[in-house]
Amino acid sequence: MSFEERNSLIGIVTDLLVITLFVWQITAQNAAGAFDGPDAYAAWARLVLTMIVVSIAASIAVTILINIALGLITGQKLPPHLVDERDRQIRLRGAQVTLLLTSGVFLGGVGLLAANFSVFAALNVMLSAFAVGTVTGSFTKLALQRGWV
Amino acid sequence: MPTQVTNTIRRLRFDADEMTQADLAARVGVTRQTIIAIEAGKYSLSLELAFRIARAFGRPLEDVFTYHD
Repeated sequence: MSFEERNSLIGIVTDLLVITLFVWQITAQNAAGAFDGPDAYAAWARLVLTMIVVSIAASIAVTILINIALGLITGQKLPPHLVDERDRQIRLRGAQVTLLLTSGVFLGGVGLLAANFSVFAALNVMLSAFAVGTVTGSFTKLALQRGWV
Repeated sequence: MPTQVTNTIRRLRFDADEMTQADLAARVGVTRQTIIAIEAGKYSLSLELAFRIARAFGRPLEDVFTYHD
């Protein structure tokens, strides 16, 4: 497994964990009525900003843990920090997929607003645009690196 | 990223004292996965890398790579 393959795999796992954390927090806060009052959007924004900081710390911790776990399971040391021309091409393809999906889902959120759905629903769809885009981009990179597509 | 370019890298490695994919990768500065993809015709490599691979075997470019219309 190359350096970039390992990065993609770790990226997928950490992204899914962070998304789960986001969904869990937003639904829990919503159920507790945190987004019902006049400060609903400010409360939502504060939660999202807090979760971004938490998710960065969680990503770093999970990356270290997965690297240790992969090292123990496969018996391999960390792969050399080598990124070649194919890796750069795959990164670009992944970024294109991420951008395409993020834009598409984000526009979906704008569409919800235009169709008179609640601002809260639209904000959550716009937030999920980044999650969908990032995870799909990481899967695309892994699929290209492994030669699945 | 499939390619119209075929190559003789596998045979050349065999002829070069059974050079491994990892050895070739280290010589030309790419990952073993990239050598695997090139050999399988799943990656269209740059001209620069093609020259580096050809030189690793001490062969001209056309002995290693062939373009098919």
